[in-house]
Amino acid sequence: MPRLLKSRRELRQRFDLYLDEGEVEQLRDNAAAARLPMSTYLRRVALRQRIEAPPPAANVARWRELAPLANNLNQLVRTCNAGQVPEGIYPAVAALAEQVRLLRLELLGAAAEDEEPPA
Amino acid sequence: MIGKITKGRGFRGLAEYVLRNGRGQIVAGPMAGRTPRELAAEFGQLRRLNPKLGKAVAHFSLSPAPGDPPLTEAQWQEIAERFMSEMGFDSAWCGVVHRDTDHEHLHLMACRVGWDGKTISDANDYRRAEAAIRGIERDYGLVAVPDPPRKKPKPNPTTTTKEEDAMTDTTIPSNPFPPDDPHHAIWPDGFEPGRDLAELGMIETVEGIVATSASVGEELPERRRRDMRRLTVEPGYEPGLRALFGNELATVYKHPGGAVLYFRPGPGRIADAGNKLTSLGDMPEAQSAVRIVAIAKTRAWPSITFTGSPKFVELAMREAMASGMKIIAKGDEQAAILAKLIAEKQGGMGAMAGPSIADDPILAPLAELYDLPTQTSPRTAPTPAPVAPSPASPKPEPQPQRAPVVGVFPAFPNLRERLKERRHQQARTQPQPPDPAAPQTRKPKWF
Repeated sequence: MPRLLKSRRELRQRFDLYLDEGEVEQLRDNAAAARLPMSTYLRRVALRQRIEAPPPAANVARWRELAPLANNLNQLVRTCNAGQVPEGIYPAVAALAEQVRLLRLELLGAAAEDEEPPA
Repeated sequence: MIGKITKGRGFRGLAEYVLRNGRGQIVAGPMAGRTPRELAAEFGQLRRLNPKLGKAVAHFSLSPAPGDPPLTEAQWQEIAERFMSEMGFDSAWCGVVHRDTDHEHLHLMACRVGWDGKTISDANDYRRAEAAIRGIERDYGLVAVPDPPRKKPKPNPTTTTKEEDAMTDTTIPSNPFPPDDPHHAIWPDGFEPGRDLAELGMIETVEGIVATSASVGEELPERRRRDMRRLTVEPGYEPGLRALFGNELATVYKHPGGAVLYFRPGPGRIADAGNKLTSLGDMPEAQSAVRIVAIAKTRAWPSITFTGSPKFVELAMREAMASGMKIIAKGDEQAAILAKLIAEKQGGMGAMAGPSIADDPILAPLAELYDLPTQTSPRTAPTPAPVAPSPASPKPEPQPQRAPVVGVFPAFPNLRERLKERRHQQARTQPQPPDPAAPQTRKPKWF
């Protein structure tokens, strides 16, 4: 379970921090990226606590796209274990192979090419 | 099928419960993890989309009735997806079937953080879950569990009942007669609450509008005024008006500031604020005066004061005097009108003989005040405004015949003292001879 935010009752001490505008903007962006309130983000950074940033939106979107494919794969495995080969298995396996290839590329940080390079 | 809803802070404990020792089988959900540890890590990553939400875990359990046939894995998957869809969970969730008990049941654990980082609403979740389960029972041929008894809502005194609404919703059709038709003038106003409220708002806010109205003349304590304003929401308010006006009262429209009374025939309405009555629309001034004074008389206002045109004020004062109400005049103009009416009353006393004090069983004891001598203390007026004179004020010479009382009965400030003084005077001037018929009683020793 991630660290919960502290309640206002606990946070009764305050002090002023002087920054220039650029630093404030940078801190604000970092806090927004971590989906944390700015004061919580600053406190955690200053106290060397772990910043649990959410997964990138692109990763979450890819994770969601893969969910039905994973379901299909599970059903396929169960059917094969039961000794039956259902119809339409080949397009599903082809799509699965393509998705796995994209996932490998994405996990390495390399973008997939949409079109064939010119000869 | 019955459903249960709980919310918690951590996924790990719930995942351990539903999957430990291989007791559960994952049948539905977009999660990639298969073990409690994997599932908890996956959920933990996704809940970071909204770190402010403490109770990010929702746990639903759906349990069919003991008599239901066992469901297949595909059916459980459909049921789980349908239930989560109807509950609005477009987020990460996982469905696990338990078959290690007497009858199988489904656990659904879900992340309450949506893909966009917003919390998935749990408003009315019990009611929505109940509706979803009833639909699942119906479509899958499961035993229908009766709905739990609902608590009766507490009666709210501010809300009106259906019967009362029926009165306020009564609509009066629009005037079918052309303006030059004589029937046009006597057609009642159509039921238009918006117009009533706008008219009242203009009267209250715009300076220079002299509303034809009547209100309580004296400064009353706040508690008394509040009680008067509350009259319009009392249950006996409308029946009382109907008893007073009969079929003449067409509609009563209640609004937060009081009520508006619609009459037939004829245009115009009367806005009732409890302690103030205002004539709206084109109601003739004579009708306004009669109706307003009748309502004020029924409410036993201690005094009444009027605003409006001199004609209305005169008509209303005449009505109020005939009803025996105490009138307080505003300004010199109204004082002159009141003085004129009083003079009319006193001048035509014989012709306009009203009810005599002696005829009234309640006021009959006051008749002896006519015989009081002149040295009684003079009556002081309660307010500086001109008030109709009291016919019961002491007269300099005794009159052989008591004059009939008309007009206003003001208060008698020193009634007790005056009666006592009179009895003493009678005892001094006319000693009563002993009555031989009276039984001779012995005085007690302590006298």
